[in-house]
Amino acid sequence: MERATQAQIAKWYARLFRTALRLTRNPEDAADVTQQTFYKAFRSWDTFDGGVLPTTWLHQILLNCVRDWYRRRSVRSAQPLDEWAVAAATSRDADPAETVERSEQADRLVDAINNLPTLVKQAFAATVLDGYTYQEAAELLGLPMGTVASRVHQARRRLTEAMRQAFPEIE
Amino acid sequence: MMDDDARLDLEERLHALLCDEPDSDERRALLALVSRDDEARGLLREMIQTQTQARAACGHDEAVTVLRASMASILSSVPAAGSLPAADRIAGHGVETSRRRRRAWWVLRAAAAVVVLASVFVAVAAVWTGRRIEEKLARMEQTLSMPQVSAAEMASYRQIWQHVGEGPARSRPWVLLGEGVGQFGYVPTADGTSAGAELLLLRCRMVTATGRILETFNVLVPSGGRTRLSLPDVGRLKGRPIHCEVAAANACATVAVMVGTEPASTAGVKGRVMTGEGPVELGQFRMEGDRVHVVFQAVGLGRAIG
Repeated sequence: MERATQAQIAKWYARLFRTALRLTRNPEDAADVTQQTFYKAFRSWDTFDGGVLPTTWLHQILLNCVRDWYRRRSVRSAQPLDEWAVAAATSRDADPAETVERSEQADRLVDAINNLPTLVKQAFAATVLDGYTYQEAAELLGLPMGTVASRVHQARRRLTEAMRQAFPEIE
Repeated sequence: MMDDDARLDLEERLHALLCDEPDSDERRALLALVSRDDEARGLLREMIQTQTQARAACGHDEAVTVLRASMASILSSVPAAGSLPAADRIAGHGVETSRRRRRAWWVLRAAAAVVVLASVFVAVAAVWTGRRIEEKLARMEQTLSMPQVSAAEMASYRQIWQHVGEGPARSRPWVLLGEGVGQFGYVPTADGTSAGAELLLLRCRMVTATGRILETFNVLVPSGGRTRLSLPDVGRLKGRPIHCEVAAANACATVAVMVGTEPASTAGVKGRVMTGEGPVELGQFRMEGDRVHVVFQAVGLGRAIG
């Protein structure tokens, strides 16, 4: 039982970390707020009545931690999303041509994600980027599960199409 | 060929598979479907591809080491810190309990005597882990702590101010005090601002997450009118010079701190502090393995030492 719970917490942790990463755009800060979220959750676990999914409860705590983080951090030179993509696409061992190509693809994909309609992007971010299940995402976003499913489907179609148009040579 | 509803349903199930959620029966059923159905296989491939590429483009690959390390630290706190009561609640959320697990549960219940003994141990561990979590939280808050300006500190400012106060006409002094650093200078007096205007003390601490102080310095500036200072060497962090920029006006100041001179290894933060606000963390950065938190506090010293 204990191990199952650890496995569950590991899954939740990864999801919340990705949400935090999306909100803070910095892995170190994401780790900080996610850890803080779990410490707070552990401390007040008895107040969780199971009325919502654990991820919804944890997500709420995370948002509060992120709000505190925003308040504390004041002005700091945050990396914009496109720069981020370049950094992510720059692999240490790749040859320069491949690196440029991957960076270009990553740029294009980030653009395509940013250009998704807001509601579609929310569903995509919660499920595909952060890794919540459709059921969890539906509760987080206050939507029926079918709506989440159709928006994620729409997002995937649009992104695939955008990438095909940008890079027709890639399968 | 699947219709739209069937496809959405399959996408939901496959996504759950990617989230590592389905129980073993569902997992087997999905894998069997994928192995015999080209369309399902193509869909799963496309889903994996989109997820992998999107996460990579958004920097997740780079963050995975940090994710693992920080998760390990949380998991090490789990056993006594709420995971046991959590299990019941998780069960109510679609995690199907297999028959084998139920049998194990009844065996556990039957071994009540053992549990009584174990609970004593768990209670002790819970207290200990609880304390550990409290300590960790306290350490996080500790980075923001800053002692009050003491009477002795005030006396030393007063003494210094008396020495530097009589500067050139139509000018106002500023003072920098740090570990082994003491500088002063003068800025022109703005029209209508008297040289004896109120003073603003800007206190800076650079600390680690555990509260270890790496560097401190204080800047005393006249708060009347607008004061701009560029202080190239207010201290050193890990052997690198710290540069501080101050733009102060009345009760607030915008401060920027940069460490290092090489563009590739320079780190810095910028932010705004106000009197009466308490210490504010302007930001943090990594330097040679340490996470450095830059904490500033603005203290209005009134005319007390002027």
